[in-house]
Amino acid sequence: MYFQGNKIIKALTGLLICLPATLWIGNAQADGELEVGYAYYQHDSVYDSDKATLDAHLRYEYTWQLAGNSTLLVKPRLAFDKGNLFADDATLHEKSRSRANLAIEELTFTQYMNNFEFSIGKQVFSWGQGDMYNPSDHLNAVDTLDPLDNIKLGQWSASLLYLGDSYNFNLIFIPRMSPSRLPQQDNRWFRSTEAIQTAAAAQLGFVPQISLAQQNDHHRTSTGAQVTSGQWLPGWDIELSYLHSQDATGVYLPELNGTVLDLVRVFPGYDEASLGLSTAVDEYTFHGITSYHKTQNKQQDDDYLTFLVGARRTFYTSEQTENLEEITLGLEYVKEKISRHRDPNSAYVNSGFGRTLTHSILMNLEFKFSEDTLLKFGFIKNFDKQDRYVSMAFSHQLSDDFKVTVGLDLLSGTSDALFGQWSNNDRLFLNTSYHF
Amino acid sequence: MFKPFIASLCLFICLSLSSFPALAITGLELMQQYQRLHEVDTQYTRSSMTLINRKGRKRERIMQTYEKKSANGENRSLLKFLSPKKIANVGLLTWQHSGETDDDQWLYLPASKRVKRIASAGKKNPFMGSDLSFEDMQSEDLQAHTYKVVGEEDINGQTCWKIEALPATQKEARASAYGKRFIWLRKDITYPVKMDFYNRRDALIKQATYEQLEQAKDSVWRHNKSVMSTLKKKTSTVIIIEKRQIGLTIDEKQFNQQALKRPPVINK
Repeated sequence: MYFQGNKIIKALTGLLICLPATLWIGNAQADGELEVGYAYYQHDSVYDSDKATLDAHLRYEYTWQLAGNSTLLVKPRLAFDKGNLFADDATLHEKSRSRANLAIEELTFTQYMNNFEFSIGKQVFSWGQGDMYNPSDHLNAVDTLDPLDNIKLGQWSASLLYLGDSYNFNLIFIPRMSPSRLPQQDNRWFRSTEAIQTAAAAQLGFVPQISLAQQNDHHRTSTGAQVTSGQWLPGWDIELSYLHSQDATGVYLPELNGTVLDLVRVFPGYDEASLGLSTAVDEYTFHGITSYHKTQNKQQDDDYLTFLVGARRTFYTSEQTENLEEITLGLEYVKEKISRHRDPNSAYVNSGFGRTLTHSILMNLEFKFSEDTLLKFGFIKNFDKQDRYVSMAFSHQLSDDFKVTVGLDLLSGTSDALFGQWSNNDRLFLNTSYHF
Repeated sequence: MFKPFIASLCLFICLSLSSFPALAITGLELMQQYQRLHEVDTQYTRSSMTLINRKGRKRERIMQTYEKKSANGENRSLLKFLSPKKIANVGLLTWQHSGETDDDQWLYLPASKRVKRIASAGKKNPFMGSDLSFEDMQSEDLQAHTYKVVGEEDINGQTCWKIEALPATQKEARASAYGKRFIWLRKDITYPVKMDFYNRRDALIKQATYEQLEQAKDSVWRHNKSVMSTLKKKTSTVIIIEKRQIGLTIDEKQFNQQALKRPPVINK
């Protein structure tokens, strides 16, 4: 569903411009953020010759409290970068292969009743109790145009939440699931298809050209149900969920067309059941999630079980030293166990973006020097692929509204591994954000 | 021959008791009286919290708090930040349990749209960069402390009982940042006006004053301004109550982990 009607966007833009004048009518919260980011890449890329990027994002979030216990949330985003400057249409639905200048990230009407909450519109959901990774959190596709940004795409959906005395029940219906957008060949985060090309050449006797133009969107209906409780077991949070959906990143189906090998992107349907638990013991919090993923078409993908265990602790150090207030350490371990492999004769191949943490450790270490100054280290290592991602970010709040962050991302590993293939994308970055 | 002796003894005991009326009431009884007089079933407050660092730089946060005594008599509270923008809608839900049971606490961060259980054993830790710790924001747990009247003092022209509060159990002693507290309760209304906080090494670390007292409802008094100072860091946190409602109807489901995600109701 690609909204050809940019008129809708323009009308919404007009409405948003008029908002300040209408704010007095009802209770409303408005929050704006302007982000400007500069990144310098250490190495050349075969896909993108530019070593530096500059982008800007203007986000607004309005929440109106309407009559009759209801709210309307509108979250537009205006974005500019060298790739899309005035190149793409405004959109209500992220289907285009690059970021649009103007998009609506969320647009949700919510009605609050005694024991129920009903929401409809473009929504972002978060399932799972993990700190860094959640194997059950698949309601929204993640936008992989810049995979390190990890931005979720809103889904047009309806959600009904029941607030019970000892548990909550959430039912979510997505009429047309929209998938992730993968980086294209002009993007330095493009995933190389060289391995597929080499394998095809061995079979065909010639080296085919690769085309990624075709995409079979499917747009399946997705249904999710989640039960959460903080009371069934005293001191524990329990989360049970079930999801009937389609894979957001997809797999490739190679189709030879003359000397061109079309890699048609298809999105396997699946059923997924998950159980999550979390608790706090003394100054630690612990969590564990297990998720079983069953693919409907056995030709297209595997069936697998993922489990994750994690812990977090904050050390408060202000009594010991004046210059450091807190150190927070978070650790997670993820392991995937395949219970049924894809049919060995299957023509389908992985796109390489899904199921990336198959046997991995994740770490987050934060040093809070003051309310204004924070140093963060992140580390991900996949033992199966021997690839690594290390990040560091130092941020300083110049005022309550203005923050500057400098940092670096380092990626390494073999060229067939997720982070390893991007080892040319080590970067230094400088971000500024202003809240208004 | 014993009659004169017994009569003298009785007289001595009676005189002893009548000449020290202040000591006739125990610290625990005073704290129970304080709770009986001033605790309410439900309360809403909207307040500004100003953090002042050692250089005098000020940072203001606006927050609203809903509190309710639940059906089992335990306290539940929901705190939401309204400003500044970077922390707007951050929420903290607390189910306070009495005695040995650890409290349940959840934090909602809007950026991740996720409610997370946090370690309530860290109640001695600072709350959102302020001079207050999580335990300073909880209502007084009488089962977790022992109280002793140690004297009387005048504070701002008002006679006060000075009460020493100590952790009652090993667990509370480990969980709390304070080895000892002194609480000054105004005698006429049994309401605290000052508190000194000592660490486990018996050093004075923080001081709080409770000012601008008003009779909020019947026997219920409240302060409209509090100042908490951390002596070593030379920082302070000033909380001014902008709006308060007592005895309003609050649904128990307001204190639910999922309800923590709801945007705050703005009462302009």
